[in-house]
Amino acid sequence: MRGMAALVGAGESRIGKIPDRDSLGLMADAACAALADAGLSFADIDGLITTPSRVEGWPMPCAVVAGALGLRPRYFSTVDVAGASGTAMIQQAAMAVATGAAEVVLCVAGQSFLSGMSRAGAIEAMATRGSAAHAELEQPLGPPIPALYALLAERHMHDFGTTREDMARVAVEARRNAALNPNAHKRDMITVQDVLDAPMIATPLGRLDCSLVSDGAGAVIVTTAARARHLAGPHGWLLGAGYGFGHAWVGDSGDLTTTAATLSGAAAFAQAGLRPDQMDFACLYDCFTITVIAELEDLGFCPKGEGGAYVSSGAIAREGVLPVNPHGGLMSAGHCGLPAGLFHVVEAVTQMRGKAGARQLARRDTAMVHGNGGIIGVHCSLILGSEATL
Amino acid sequence: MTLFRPDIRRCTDCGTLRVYPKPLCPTCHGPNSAPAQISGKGRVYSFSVIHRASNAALAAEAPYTIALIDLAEGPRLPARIEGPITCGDAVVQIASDSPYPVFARRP
Repeated sequence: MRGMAALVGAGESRIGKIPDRDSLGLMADAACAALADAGLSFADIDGLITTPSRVEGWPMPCAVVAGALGLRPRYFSTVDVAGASGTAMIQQAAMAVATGAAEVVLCVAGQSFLSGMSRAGAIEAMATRGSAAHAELEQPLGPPIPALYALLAERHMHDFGTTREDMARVAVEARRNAALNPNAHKRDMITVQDVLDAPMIATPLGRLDCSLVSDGAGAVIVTTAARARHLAGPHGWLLGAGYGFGHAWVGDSGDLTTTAATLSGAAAFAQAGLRPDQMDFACLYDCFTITVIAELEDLGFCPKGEGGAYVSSGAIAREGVLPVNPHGGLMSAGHCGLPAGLFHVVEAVTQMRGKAGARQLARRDTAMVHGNGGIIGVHCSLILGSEATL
Repeated sequence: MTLFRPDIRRCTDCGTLRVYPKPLCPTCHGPNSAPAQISGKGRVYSFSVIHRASNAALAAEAPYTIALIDLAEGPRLPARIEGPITCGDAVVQIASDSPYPVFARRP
């Protein structure tokens, strides 16, 4: 798989409160932006991968999206591994172009998550229809999604001495990055104290430990190595990918503080022939502050239990050894629910193409992009590299 | 006030206990199981005190505590908790009118 597929274009809709667009409208905007970036048109697309919409509840999302965008794909699929869908879509698109099932695959996903269902509606939907909590054993207890991630956070603090200040630093760095991103939903600077003082949602997670509720869509174009060489670069090349399954339900787990990102990350690095310390930056699924700390450990960027200290050392800041989520992530750039993992891929490709504007990183040859779904139960990791890494 | 009994099953092929309903034993993939009794004792693996519930009906109950209990018999059970706790605390199931198990710190 290494080097057989290239990510040749990326784009996103406006992100934030976008009441004049429904989910399909947001996806159309993102698709147009990605095609323009790639120098391609809708007529070039012969493959489509998308995700379900929890807002609309379409019966067969890939068909609904193909019809809405006027596509005639010869390969199409709906991917649903919740927050891991964004990275999984890319891995599956790469398989499609590597096998010849398609040549140019549009990966597009988005939701009118804020305007389409209201902030409160989105939060309730995630707790119920989002299938994050088991219907018989967990939902009757009344856990909102933050409480389920709080179980990881509380145990991580107990086992390793991770602090609320460590977690807060994740949110602060995300906001610093978002301040440089004109399309970010939240750009006002925050401090560690602001995060600690924010209203408590589910101990130990306060409101600013949680990702946003946003409208938005992202799109990435994946094609063959041969086709990519006829398109304007630089491109992001897929060097490796891997999946990891831990559990479907948070209570049906073993050691919650060590996630199956250990499996997905190791598989992706092995395929790429690279190590964590060779990554120039990372785009990590950041539904909650604790998620990033667990991922940094399990993907191998720091030893188990030291994620909090790693973050508090400044490592993930844009000036640090491993800039994380230079666009601001789900914490600050935007979170449109299940499809939002695609934003992390969009940002990695945008950085590699040198089109990130004020937030452009100097070192951008290698990146880890990681998605996590459910209550940190399913994982898909990607390693992207510039042409120089092939 | 009763002790809510979740449908915990024991694999009759290999003896593995399971809390989450599954058609096959997660250890040996055997299809046969029987109801299992639990002692109602365990330890808190982790917990969260919920201040902002996800709907209006639950908001009236807030703050309330959910937890994952590692049962003395082995498997993990999600439950509500009455009273203050921390990770590792020994807990015991208490009687309740609620349609879910409720635990409290063991005196």
